[in-house]
Amino acid sequence: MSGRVAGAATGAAAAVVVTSPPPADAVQPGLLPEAQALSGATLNDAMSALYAELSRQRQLGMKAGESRVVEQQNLHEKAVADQKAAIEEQRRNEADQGDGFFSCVGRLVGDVAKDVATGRLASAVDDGVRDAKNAVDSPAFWSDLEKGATAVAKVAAVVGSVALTVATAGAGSAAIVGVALLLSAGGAAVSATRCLDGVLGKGASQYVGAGMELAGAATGCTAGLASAGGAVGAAASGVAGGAQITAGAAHVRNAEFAARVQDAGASAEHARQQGERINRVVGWMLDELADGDKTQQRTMQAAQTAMQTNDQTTVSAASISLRG
Amino acid sequence: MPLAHAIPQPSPGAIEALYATGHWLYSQQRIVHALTVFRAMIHIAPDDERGWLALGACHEAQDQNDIALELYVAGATLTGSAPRCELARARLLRARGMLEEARNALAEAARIAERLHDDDLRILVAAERGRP
Repeated sequence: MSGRVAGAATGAAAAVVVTSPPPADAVQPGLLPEAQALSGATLNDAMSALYAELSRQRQLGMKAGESRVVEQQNLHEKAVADQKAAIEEQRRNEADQGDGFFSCVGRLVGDVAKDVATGRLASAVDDGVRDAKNAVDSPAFWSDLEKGATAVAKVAAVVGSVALTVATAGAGSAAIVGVALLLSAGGAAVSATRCLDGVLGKGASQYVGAGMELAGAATGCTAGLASAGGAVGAAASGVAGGAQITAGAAHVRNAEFAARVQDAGASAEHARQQGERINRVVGWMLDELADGDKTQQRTMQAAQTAMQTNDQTTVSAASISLRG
Repeated sequence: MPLAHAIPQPSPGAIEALYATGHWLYSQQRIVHALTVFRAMIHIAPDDERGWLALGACHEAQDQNDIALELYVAGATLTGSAPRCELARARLLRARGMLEEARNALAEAARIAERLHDDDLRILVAAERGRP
């Protein structure tokens, strides 16, 4: 350090104090006090203090930076998990996911029939409840139900109108038998799964289901008595009404699933954007840490230069003092 | 956490050297380097008004007046008596149209100047009051 040189060169004159008046302040004219006199002996001390403080700040900065990076990484992992969960939720709510209507009904009937046949009545109840719950949670079940019920309503309406105008059994009875079967199966499923309770109110499934089954039975009977065109028309109208209710309810439920898909899609997009933002922030923080490190190194160099300038002034002044 | 914890206290001469160094860097418009030196100074000598004042001036030079204001307030609080910080704060407040607050800061600076019988400070306060 040149401060030490100055002290050695001047001996007793090391105590010679010189000033290095800086130029006038640019931003705070008059407010910043002028720097006081410096002596060579204090420069090492100042440099050491500065170095120690900057090292401490750098360590604190690095620690804080590391903590912030770890924190951001945790946030990033959470964002990725959120995104995955949202995508999974979106997939689960899409209309083609889960078991379809007939699969659900088939499983329900199969499980219950097997349990009843083998004498396990308690299991029959459990299996029925489990199958019903799976059906209610399955988007494909509702999608199929809506499509099926709409088709039933259309066919029934056509059959009804044909039956009213043409009093023959002919082709109409075959269609009516088909409608009766579908309606009976649908009614049984609606009663068993109570799937309309959430949409139409508590207990509604039982009434609608029973109505559909009765209408199906009536339709089946009247198919055999196709000579009575008026009776066929009335039964078919009942079929159409029940099926329309079912289709409407299923439509509402499907709309819920569609909304969930939309929400889940938005959540996934949000989580993805969040992840990208966190990545950017981490990048900035790492840049900032590196910049801060460089700035401190440059400051140390600048401080050395500044102090050397003061030292040179000290030496010059000491020389002048000695020559004087 | 105390600002000056675990730092060996340097001699008063070292603090003067530090201030002179920062002042020189500041006067050379090397504001980023001056900032670091003055930031170190407020940690090493938190009761020295000049560190706070100079650090605030550096932030003003970077158009970070909000930070400067905070530093002036912190300086006045920590040192107990920081008339120049009050003056600098009064300037910034007046520039923002906060005239009442600016007057209060100026009055505080004048009160300290009277208490210290500091003629330089009195002149600065008078000059500040005379500014349009």
